[in-house]
Amino acid sequence: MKERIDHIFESSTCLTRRQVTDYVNKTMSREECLAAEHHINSCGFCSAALDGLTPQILKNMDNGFLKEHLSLIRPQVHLSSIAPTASGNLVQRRPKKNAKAPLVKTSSITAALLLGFGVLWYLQYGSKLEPRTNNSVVQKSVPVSAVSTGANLPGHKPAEVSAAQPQEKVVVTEASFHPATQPEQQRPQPLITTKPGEEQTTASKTEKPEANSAIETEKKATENNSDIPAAIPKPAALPVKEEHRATPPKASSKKEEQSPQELYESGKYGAALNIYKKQMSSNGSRSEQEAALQAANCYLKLGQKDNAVKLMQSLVETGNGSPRRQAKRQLKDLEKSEAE
Amino acid sequence: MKIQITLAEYRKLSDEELVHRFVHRNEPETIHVLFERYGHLVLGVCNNHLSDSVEAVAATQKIFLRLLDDLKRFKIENFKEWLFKDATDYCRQKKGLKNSEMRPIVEAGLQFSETLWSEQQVKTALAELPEAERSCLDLFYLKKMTYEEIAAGKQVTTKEVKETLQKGRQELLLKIELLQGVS
Repeated sequence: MKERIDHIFESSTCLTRRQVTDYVNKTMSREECLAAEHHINSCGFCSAALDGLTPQILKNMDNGFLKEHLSLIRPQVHLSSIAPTASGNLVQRRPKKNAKAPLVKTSSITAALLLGFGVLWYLQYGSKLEPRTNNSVVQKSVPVSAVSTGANLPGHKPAEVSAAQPQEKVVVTEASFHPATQPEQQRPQPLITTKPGEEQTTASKTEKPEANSAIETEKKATENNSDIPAAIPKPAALPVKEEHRATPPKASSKKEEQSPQELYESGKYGAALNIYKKQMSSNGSRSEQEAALQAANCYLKLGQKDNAVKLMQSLVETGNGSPRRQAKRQLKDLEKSEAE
Repeated sequence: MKIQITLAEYRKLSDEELVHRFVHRNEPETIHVLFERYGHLVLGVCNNHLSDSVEAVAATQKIFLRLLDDLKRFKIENFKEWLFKDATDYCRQKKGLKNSEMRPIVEAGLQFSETLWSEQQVKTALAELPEAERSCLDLFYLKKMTYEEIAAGKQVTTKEVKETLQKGRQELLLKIELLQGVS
């Protein structure tokens, strides 16, 4: 009796899903059913569960939701998913928006810089170059005229050359020559570009018709040159040319033939000063200012500092452009030298 | 060093060991085993309270997902009891009812041992029970008849037989307790 009563109070594990399903479906054996009911008697959980369970509802039960939830909480890392991170592709580089933009930017910056430097250079030196080019033309005219006269060439016959090529015309052509204003066809190539040796050969040949034709073309060129519009600035040496035109050529008067710059360079400051004074009174404003500046330099060389200072001061007050700046600079230099 | 154990080995562990492993070792397999053990029972309880299979399935899922947090938040000594109460309370809340009071699921067993009760005490307690309960207990425990057989013999439903048996068992335990107190 005691053995039979003992199992009334036995505690057993809850019914499994299979057992519950079998019990609900009534597919259990009698022994199994008795054992299950023994447990149901002692277990309120299983008893309450069996009250609500049907064969249909047990089919709907699935533990997939737990797997999903746990995989979300603890994502499993596979080696294949690590591989790309190990290869360094974890940090993705953003594609550049405009790959060509830096090139355009740098080129535009360089272009702007170059332009700026060009403007600065012109402001600093470009305006100074203008009288130098004029001087160079004037200086250039001298050797050419010298070539034409044969002064610098050994064994040259000046008389023949002078007869073949009148000095006045040569000077005029050289002085009036301006590469910017002359068309390519009208440029007298042999007169300018010929070297002394070549010139000698041409002079020895004395091809009068060709020379005459060249002079005629030069004359035409000078006539055409007079038609150049006023907007194009004429070189400073032009007044010298006009002077030479006005005065008849004199072979003996070398002083007049020489340009004031040449005279200045050769140390004949007085003669140069005289010419500059004439230019100051007779020419246009720009050349007048340049002439005044040169005259002031001549005064300085001659030791007449007061006159030089006066001229420079007048230039500073009334002048403009590069002569005014040069005068200002020279005045400052003078003041500095005086202070020292 | 963490020792990997198979799902079959997890199934051999008790509820308390599984809970401990989940809380302290964060082993998700333990939850799967606990769901295997009690998922269908929670579903049955939910369906019993809610009377809707779809809602019952959703409630079961909700209870087990909530369990993942609750296991770490609360110190649970009797997992089965706690889960049953949690499922019942959830369904009652769902229905707009107040939570049930904690009641013991397993009334017998651990509290009684051979040394604590005697054959005479049981016989005396059985004699004091009502006739319906006593006859059911006699048919079920002594004559080893199933619910259906008892229900067929008494011309009642199996549910009524089950309820009568559970009630008679509880009263028997109470009477034995009283007899022990007197003695």
